[in-house]
Amino acid sequence: MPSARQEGAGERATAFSLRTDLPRRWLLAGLCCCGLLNALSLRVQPVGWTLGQGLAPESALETSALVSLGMRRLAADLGLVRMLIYYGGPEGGPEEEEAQLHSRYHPEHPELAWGGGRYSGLGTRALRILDADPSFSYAALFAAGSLAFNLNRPEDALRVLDYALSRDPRNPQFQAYVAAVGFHRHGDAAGVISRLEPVLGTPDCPVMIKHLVAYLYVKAGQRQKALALYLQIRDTSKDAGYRRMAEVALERLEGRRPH
Amino acid sequence: MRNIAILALTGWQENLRRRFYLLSLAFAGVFLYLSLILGVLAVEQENRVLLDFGLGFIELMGLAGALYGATTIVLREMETKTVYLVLTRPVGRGEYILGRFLGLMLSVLASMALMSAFHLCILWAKGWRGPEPYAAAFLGAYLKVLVTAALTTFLAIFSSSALTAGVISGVAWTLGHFLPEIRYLITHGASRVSIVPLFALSYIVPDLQLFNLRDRLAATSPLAASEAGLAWWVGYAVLYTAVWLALAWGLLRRKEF
Amino acid sequence: MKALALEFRSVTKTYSRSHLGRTTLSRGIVDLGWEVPEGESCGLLGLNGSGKTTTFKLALGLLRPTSGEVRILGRSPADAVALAEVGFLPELPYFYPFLTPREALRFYGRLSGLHEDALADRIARTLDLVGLSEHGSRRMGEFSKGMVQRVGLAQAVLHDPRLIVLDEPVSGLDPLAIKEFRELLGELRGRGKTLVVSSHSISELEKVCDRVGILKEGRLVRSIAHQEWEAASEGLEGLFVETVR
Repeated sequence: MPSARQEGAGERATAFSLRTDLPRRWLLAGLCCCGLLNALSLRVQPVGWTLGQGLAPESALETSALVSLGMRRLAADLGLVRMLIYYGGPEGGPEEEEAQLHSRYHPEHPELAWGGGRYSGLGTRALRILDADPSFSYAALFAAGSLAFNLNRPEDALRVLDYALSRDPRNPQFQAYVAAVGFHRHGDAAGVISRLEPVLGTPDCPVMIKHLVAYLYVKAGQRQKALALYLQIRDTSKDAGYRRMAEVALERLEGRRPH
Repeated sequence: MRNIAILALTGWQENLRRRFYLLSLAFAGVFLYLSLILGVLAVEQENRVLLDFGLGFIELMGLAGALYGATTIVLREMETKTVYLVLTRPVGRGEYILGRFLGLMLSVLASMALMSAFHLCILWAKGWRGPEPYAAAFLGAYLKVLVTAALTTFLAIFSSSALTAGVISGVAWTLGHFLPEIRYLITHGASRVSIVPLFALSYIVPDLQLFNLRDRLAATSPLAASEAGLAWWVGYAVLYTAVWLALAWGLLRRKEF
Repeated sequence: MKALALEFRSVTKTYSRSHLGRTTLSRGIVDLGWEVPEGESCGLLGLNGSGKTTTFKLALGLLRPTSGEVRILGRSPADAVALAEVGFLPELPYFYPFLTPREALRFYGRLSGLHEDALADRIARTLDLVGLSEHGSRRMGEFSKGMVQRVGLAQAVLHDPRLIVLDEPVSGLDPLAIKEFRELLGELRGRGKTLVVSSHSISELEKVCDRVGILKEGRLVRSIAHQEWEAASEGLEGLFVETVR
């Protein structure tokens, strides 16, 4: 009881005290228990990864908010949606203007050509997605495949795959794609097929890669394999554009449409 | 134990009749349906987006319900003097706080489970068949909410303010998800001035990122190798919850009404 | 000599409020010595802030005395055995509006230790006692103030306690409801229950109580028996005014 003058009922007296309703030893014991639990959790969970690419200006707030709410995967998902919208949209815009400042592709200095050309931001967007979710292999495969086989920027594709491998080194698809890109640089279609064929059946194989391999099957004279793959794309893909292309390809292969 | 069960069951029944929970279920239904639009934009990754959005939203709605309940369990009963009718009976204060808390978490579990059932129906209709361990992700989300609700209960009794408790709990929720980054800052480059508070935070704030099993749904997740097992997560959550409920009891046993 | 249902032995209660490290002390009750024998009906009178509610809260363990000792039915207020034999009606009781009286009584009855097999019958009889049999399944959000007060009394007597503590039981009730309440209390007295009632309504205490204590600034300054105020020309009101002025 703190010391105070007490004079009659209702009289107010004052004293200074830091007394709380909770015994201090209880609070201390509780905080020690929390500390111990967190120390043990540290052994279970490694230190978090850093944002190697920083945040994109147009989505920094959204990404920060999602990460602070513990929704890294959702932040990665929204990054993918933005990337698909970007890649599916017309070329041009601020990123493309910036790309004009970069020099053309040079084998000796590939880093100078990062972003040089169309959809210069595709690679960076993919890396940001991997920052948020290192196991989001689809984003890496989609970006790398687009860069290597559609935009003919193999160095940029390898950069994405390298980044992805640094975060998820056990993923066999990344290794397969690295090899496929290597074969592609040397114009070896058979090599590309041999590396990509085993990963076509994985759940996160982009339909674009399946379409590419089907096309290479046709070029290599492997008609049955091409037919089977186009049929699979037509029947199972969620991308309406690729379903249409598969339908057209099937018509050509079956002779219902001239080449 | 009997009193705890009575308080828990009654609390659960009371919560089920509160408009807040009914509204949150309706709200969740609308949002989950709207997520279908987002899924379409993701084309081939539609199911993943639906999965992540749904699980994330269910977690947030569960958190909202838990924070609302935890900030009002004792405070509202004190304001309305309803607590008098309980504590003037042969009911211990520890039984009271534990029973009320369990009732709250039962109703949160029920509402999250209902939203998950609806979510799974949407996923199933979209052709999702796993193999992501949905149950583990749901459990992780619930454990996060459980831990945060326990902390909120303590803060509500300590501060006697629902707003203060809610705000501090929201901050703790955010910091809990940044715990790996806080630890990184401590070991790599935090200034001398900031290292002490960061160090203290890293040992007090609940490690909510530990329960983000949703982030580890991919089989090739780099963190998969470090998982210590479900028993560890559940144990951490139960112990952490027990600590803050014990502190809440410590406050309540000395509290005068 | 009758056993004591309620006993205060030199009880003082000082309120302490801490804010930003500064503690303010104020007195609620000062050196209270008061005994209520079992079977008696005792009232507490006093001006606002005189310590009536503080006294009741001390009796029920909602407050702890700064000094002195409180006993209910010979035990500490923290004793579960004692609390199982006490019924309490606080001032302006509140029940969740979406509960029905049956649900609320079932909840409180179970907490008081009543078992399921006896509970339904006990609830029915209690609702009948307080005149709410027809409204047992209606949500209390639709109830009038008087009906809520009846539910409050119902939960206080449901488990057939030996000691019933009532804080301002007729506060806000209309005259008819007050009469019905008084009759209920008379019936409980007839069953040998010990009643401890506080009220601003002096006339009600005159009709219900055997003895009335007057609190002034936290002290029990006078205890008046029924015969005394009956004999006084101005009744209990006159004695009260004379005491507190």
